[in-house]
Amino acid sequence: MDKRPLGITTFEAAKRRIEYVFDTFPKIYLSFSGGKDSTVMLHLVMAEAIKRNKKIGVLFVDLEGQYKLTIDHIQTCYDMYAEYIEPYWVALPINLRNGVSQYQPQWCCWEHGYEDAWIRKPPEMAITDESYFPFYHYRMEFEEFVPAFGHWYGQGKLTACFVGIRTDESLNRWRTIASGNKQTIDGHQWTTWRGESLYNAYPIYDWKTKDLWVWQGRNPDKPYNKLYDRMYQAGLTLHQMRICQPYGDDQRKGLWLFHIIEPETWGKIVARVNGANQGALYAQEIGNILGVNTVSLPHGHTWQSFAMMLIDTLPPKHAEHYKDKIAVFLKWYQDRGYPGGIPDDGPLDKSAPSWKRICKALLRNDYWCKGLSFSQHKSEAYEKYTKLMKRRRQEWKLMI
Amino acid sequence: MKASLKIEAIGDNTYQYTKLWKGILNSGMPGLGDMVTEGISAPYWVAMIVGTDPKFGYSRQFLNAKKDYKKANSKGSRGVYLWYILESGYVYEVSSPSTWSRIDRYFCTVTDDGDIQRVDKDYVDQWIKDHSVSQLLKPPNEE
Repeated sequence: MDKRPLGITTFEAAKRRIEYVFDTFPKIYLSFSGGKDSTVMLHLVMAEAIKRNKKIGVLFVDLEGQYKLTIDHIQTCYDMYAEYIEPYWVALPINLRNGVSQYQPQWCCWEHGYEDAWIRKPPEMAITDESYFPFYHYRMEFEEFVPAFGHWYGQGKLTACFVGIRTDESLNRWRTIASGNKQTIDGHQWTTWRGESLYNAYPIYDWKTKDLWVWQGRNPDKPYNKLYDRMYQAGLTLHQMRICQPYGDDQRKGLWLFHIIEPETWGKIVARVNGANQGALYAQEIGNILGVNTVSLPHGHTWQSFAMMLIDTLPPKHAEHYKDKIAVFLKWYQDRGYPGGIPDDGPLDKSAPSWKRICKALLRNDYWCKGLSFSQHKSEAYEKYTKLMKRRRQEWKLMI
Repeated sequence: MKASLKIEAIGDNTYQYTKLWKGILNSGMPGLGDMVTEGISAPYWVAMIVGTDPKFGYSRQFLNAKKDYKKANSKGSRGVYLWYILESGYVYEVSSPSTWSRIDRYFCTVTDDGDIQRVDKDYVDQWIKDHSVSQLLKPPNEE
């Protein structure tokens, strides 16, 4: 999709989009992370809310292991707009991806029984009561919680959720906006239907990183996250400065920064999050350590035997998890042109199957096996899935 | 202000098959599909009232819906939901099946708070009288 200049500034365009959302949607909330994008968006949206004397919801999902500076900034913003927001500071046990440990591939923030090891205590205003949201269940996936919150918040009314993503950030985010398959409201490409009465709105999708800081520079009375000052002092470029939860598959590359910026928090994280230190040391390495870029075959192995050896090194529960995924992968190709099994060697992209690709997924600690074209499963259905897969693997005689 | 309206597309699988066969037959012999499927139409729809019509009573502009299969059964006969967007300042007619044999048919508008409010036929007739044709028609979306 080509870029089409609108003949107005990105600031003016964002303002118009926000006005449209206020004119159109009876229920509005904003998804806030404390980062530079959602902070600028919060200030723009709140300006409109104050102008119209309308209260909007502000959702922040507190993931426990976050920079103190970010938490302080969020508190400042909540206090600043207290009169015009319905605050939802959520500090509930939620499952998060931990890309730096084979032993704890999912990490649960605010987990029961670990209260003494929690990196920090949730703030007083946080929602910690598990019965507060009727849709919530213990160790719910983050990806399930966010849309469920939107449906709950709307209470059946047409609802907009402001999301501060920008197409410049990544190809995935560009696709979120530019996708021709998604459904929108009134044909506005900067919105996405999330099912039922819920729509996401991306008012700053076309902003560049520089635009955000220019806006902050011109509005010195509006607070920004001081973590960015520290990142600047640490020598990061504007585009490297990102603050999402740092143990994810993509985010782990930034773990090295944590102990430089906030050593006091880092000490607690190492004690709490399995593999955090290992990730900080090795997440930027390429090769077999974490399967980044090329992977190489150890002497005396085929890719298949290497894969089986890697599976044998995993904790039994996670070995079974990978076996289920690999069995489905093998069966899929068995029925589609590879009756005798997939080749041992092959390209690392998704153009053809191979055991080499399986090895890469294992080395990368690719828990959801996205590299093998799987997607994340629903937490509630997982137990049923493992039982079903146990039976199927016997039937298929694969990965027994 | 806008509002969303949800109705269940009961028997959607059958109507989708009918639509498919109508297209196939029409492409083989123009008019054949229309003839064979005459009188078979989905009972779920939402339309904007845009005036009067000598044959149908009101002239209607049928709205497109967003279809949600998340709660559908394996056949697609139940649990398929249609989500419509309605807007304040207009009058709509809704045909929404509540069971296989019962259809809830009503007129409605959207309040300034984004709530859907049912209205009666007299309100609709008066509303048409009070508005010119250009006011009744929804302007095309501006992107």
